Amino acid sequence: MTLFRVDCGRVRIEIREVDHGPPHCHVSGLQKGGGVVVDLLTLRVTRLLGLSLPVAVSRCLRDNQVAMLEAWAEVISYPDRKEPL
Amino acid sequence: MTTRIDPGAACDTGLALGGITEARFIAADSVLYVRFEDGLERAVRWADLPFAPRLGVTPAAVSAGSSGECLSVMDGSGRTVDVSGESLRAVLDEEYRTQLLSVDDTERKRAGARLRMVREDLGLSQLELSRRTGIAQESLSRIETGRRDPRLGTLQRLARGMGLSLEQLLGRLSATSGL
Repeated sequence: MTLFRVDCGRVRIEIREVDHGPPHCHVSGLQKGGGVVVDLLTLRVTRLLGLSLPVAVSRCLRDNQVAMLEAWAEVISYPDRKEPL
Repeated sequence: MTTRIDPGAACDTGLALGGITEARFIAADSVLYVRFEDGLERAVRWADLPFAPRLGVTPAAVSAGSSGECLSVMDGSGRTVDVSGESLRAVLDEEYRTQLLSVDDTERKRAGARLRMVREDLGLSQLELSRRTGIAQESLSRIETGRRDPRLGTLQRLARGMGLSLEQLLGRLSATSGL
């Protein structure tokens, strides 16, 4: 069980119990089983270069952005430099 | 139909996502064994992992999670928690940890720069936003320069101080391009 999980068709958006800042989610099940990391403040794909997100997934990220930022407060962060402000 | 979320600014860091190809838990010794996709193998006592005390899970079994990008840990009651492959590798591989922290700092700087652009577009100085939100100017500076992450509560206060709803602020942060 992850801290946050939402399925968008075959695509899964997750926040894990142990992860590292800045706040982000993992999007898996994209083309060819690929996955990307999306920054939760900007909804920018931070890895990997050039991978596209289906429109429905982008919408799902926006719809769940606040809930994911809320969930991120529960993440056990490692490695990290400092506590968030 | 697909869309890209700001592909122009997306970066390929060259840093692997911490893909785990094999994971085992040797209960008798409380030792976790993992193998990463580049062949790196490590065995570590569970109790020696820096996040183990806060996680509060005594593993009964482990497995490489979805896409191998996380370690799924199941305890005796069937409760499962997921540990990011990147976080795990950062414990076991100092060079990787240094690279990961550097990548994370870059991402923080990008997000902070966007926040600064939104503030400046609204014609607000750091001092004025500090006065409106009660958040110390030094704290605002730390967020805008990527030295700290903002909590959700801080973002809500910043949005109010900017005369925006939280959703409007987040929308502006994701719409700001070029950084």
